[in-house]
Amino acid sequence: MSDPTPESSEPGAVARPARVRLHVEWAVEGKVPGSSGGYGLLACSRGGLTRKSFTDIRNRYVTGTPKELPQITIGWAGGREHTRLLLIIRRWSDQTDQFGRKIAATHYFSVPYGQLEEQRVSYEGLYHALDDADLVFDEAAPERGDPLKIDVPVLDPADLAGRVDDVAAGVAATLLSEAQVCLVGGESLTPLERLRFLDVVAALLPYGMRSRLSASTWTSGTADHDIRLSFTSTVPAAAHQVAWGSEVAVPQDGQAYYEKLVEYRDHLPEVVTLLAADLELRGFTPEARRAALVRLSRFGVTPQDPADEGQVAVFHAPAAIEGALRVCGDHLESGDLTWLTRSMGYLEMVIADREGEFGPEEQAAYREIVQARRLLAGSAELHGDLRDSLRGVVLRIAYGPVLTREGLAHIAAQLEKMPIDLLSALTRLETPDPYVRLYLAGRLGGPRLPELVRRLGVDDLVRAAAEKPYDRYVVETALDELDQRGRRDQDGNLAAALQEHGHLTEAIAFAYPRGERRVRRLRELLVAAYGPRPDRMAFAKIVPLSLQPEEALLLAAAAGLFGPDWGEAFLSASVLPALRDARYSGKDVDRIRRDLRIDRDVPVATDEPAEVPHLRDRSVPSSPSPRREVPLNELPVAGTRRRSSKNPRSLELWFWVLILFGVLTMVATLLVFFRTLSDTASGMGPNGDGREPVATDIVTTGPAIGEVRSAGGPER
Amino acid sequence: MSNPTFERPEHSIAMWGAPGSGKTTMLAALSLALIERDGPWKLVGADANATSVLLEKSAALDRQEFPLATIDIEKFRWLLVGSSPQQDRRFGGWRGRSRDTRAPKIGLNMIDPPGQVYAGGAAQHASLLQSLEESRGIIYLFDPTQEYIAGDAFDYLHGALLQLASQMLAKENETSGRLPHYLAVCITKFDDLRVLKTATKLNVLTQDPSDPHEFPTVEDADAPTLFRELCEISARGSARRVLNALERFFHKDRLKFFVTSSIGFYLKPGTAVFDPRDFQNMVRLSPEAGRDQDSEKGAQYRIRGQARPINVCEPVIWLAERLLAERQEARSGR
Repeated sequence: MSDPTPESSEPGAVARPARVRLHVEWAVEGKVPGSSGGYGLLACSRGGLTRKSFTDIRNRYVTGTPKELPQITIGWAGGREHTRLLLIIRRWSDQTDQFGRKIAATHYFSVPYGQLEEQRVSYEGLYHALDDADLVFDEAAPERGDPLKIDVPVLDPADLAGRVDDVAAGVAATLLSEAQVCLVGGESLTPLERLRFLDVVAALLPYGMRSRLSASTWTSGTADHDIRLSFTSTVPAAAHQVAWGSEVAVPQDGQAYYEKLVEYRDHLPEVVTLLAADLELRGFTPEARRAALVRLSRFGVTPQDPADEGQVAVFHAPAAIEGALRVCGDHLESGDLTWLTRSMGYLEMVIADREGEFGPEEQAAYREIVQARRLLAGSAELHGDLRDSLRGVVLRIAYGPVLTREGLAHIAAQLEKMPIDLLSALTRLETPDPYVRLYLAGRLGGPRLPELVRRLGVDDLVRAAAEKPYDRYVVETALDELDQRGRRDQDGNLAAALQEHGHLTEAIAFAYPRGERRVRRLRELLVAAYGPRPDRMAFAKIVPLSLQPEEALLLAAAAGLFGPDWGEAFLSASVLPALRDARYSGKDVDRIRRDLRIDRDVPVATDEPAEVPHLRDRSVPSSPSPRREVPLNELPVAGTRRRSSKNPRSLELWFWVLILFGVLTMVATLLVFFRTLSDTASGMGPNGDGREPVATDIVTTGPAIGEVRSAGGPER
Repeated sequence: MSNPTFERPEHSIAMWGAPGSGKTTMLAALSLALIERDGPWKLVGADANATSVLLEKSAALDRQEFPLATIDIEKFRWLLVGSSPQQDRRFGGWRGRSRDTRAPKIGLNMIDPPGQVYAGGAAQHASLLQSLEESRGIIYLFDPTQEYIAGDAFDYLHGALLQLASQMLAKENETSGRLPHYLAVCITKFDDLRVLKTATKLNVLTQDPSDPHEFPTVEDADAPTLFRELCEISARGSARRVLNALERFFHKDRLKFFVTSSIGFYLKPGTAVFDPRDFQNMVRLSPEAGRDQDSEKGAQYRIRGQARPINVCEPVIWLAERLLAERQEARSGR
């Protein structure tokens, strides 16, 4: 725990800044003077950090062989409650090694972060307190040195704010990107001046970010170092270069933060105070960077006294939020981006304070405003980051934290076309509904797609694809994923899910307007679910026809009558016409018929008159052939249609044809029967020996000509 | 130089040696040595960082100061640049088409670690092993004067060598049983009286007739003999193991010995010829040098006259050429 030391209150005493007492662990790296050995850890204090801990720290804070000393590096170690701030000071000792080379002595100091809970300190304050510290250790027990107790001045926001310039603000904002920042051209600055600059930069970030900040007054361009911010003479290829005293090219990621700092430049002491109060351990992850922006955005809109619950409640009231949304719309329309970001900052704060939870009723009101003010459509004047931020805020307030299908439909209804960046923003909301997730994944495509659909199960995918109103992207994305899963897993889950949802035939018919593609897609799905050669059981599951008993009897009788080709006839007579009825084009049906290897279509019996030319010719001559006298009662009546099949003469003719055909068939059958019977009775069978006749048997009834000659048999 | 190339292959060459064996000084002398040496090659930085390192190191030596001891592993990319060959029309066909006349360039990714990282428990040891594994050329520095005093060369070789071998030779596709690197073994500090005397005793000293300074040299063929003899003076008697280990872990045909000195011999101002009575170029600064060496502060050394590196660029050029040839052979499928 820290021991805050208050300012002296004695009359006549010189005003002394408040100080905080810190317990500091330490280690020393160097060489034994006059030796030929290399650098190594010579001693360390006893405590939480061991020799190995300090060795690991030394390994992480590589800065390169120094050109000039002293060199001061700030850093961190540990995590959570074990987080420590580090200060590393490297100086030339007045000693040399065996080869006469100067020895650099490096002192590592570690301050537990928890000691700063009540009072913060600056890096410069730490440096002054530690630089002259006497590190005492017994050579016989070099790892049992006494930890230090030092008094460090409490961080002075006014002092730090007074030294903020545009370079410091730009560098601080640049740290809120992925960039490693290297400052060049600072050779004229002393190491202490460089440390003071680093201190100012750190003061423009939430204090908790120091738990992951590394910086140095010098690094070598040829050392593989991970120091986030440093002065250097040569910049590694991948680093972001900042020329000392020049304008900083702040990356996009840090732009919003930079704009905030510029906006608040007249209130920097208060801003530094606000940021110093933020002790929450933060890294430089995208989330932490966003949180830093939120924290900074609170400046000026947060009630001065957070304990004033009533004021906070007013600030967070739905009416205030609605007002802020309308103001955002106004600024968006007027192009006043400065005030737009300020209003967004307020909304960010509300989201953070209410942890993203808003009631359905208030969200309905917010949605109306969002739609009316076209807040999601954005504006051409908004650059990418600001537009993303605005959408993020609006979505979380009006549609978050869980994006429902209704919310999605509401958003879709506002826009003619859903832009990609809006889709991306939507994915940042929670999307537990598989339909919603597939809706976004299908439209985003690319690398985001697998990430979005990965956690959906086969059941989720099938159910989402089957849900109405059908969405082409949802169906297609689901089918693609199901294809992959089915072929990969082959565990029957896909088949079971498909059986529950009619094998998605309706959805597929919706998503694929072309008949041929429909059938192919469905067949691919069936292959994924049942394999390339499904057995009869699978077929029954795919086509679960439930026939009535009499229908089954009829089908059995008809199939028996038709013989082995009854299946083809069934497809031809029942399936293909049904496809036609479903408005499949003739071309598609022909193609399907070819796929099914059905030679020709079977005529379909309908109530319509069959086109039988010879019958029509006889009843209604179309040619100028000699007219036959037709009785009046046989003439067609206007408005009625004659049904040729009911023509008594035709029926009569057909009747006699059938009788004749039947008699002939019967006679032929009887002849064959009696012939077979007589052969069997004579014991010859068809071949005389009970075997079926074969060609050779017939030939052997007489010798071949050649055989007779060769055998010397009698000639005729 | 024969076999100039128009490609720009990258070769990583790592320095290996105990603390104080002269790794950084050798790198500092390399550029100067190439300038003084007859031949087309010169050394340039491949980027601003590498150029800066080159300038800083050369400048220190030029100021007759030793470069600072390396504290962290340094990596920089240098280029060995040759001269553009004359246009040659003899083989250009009847149209007189000339050959490519671009200057040959060989990229060198130099890795300069502090000596202590070769001790097994050093903090940057893992990083060093990775660098060694990625490199295909190693310049190994053996300092006989240091071996005479401390006898620790084997300590800074054995642990790292075993770990490197463990990483590389344990791989399934490794069948040769030896490390694939080309190894230039440099016997450093040839300018030291004791080393020169040993060479004299062995009768391996020669003189290059074309050398205007008439400096003594040891031909590369005799370098192994000198190395073996110097191993015998090891303070702890472990130097012989250095040689055995190198021959055991590396291919013999990829091993070559050089006798080197980064600062060279001293030449009196106004004279141009080696003086066998006064040639030592490294001196102690303090007049009370004898006492200082044992004091807590240690000794102060500096270079007495102009640095005239001996055999410093030869190991680098040999490695670069071997690596280049190997790559060309691999490409041609041989």
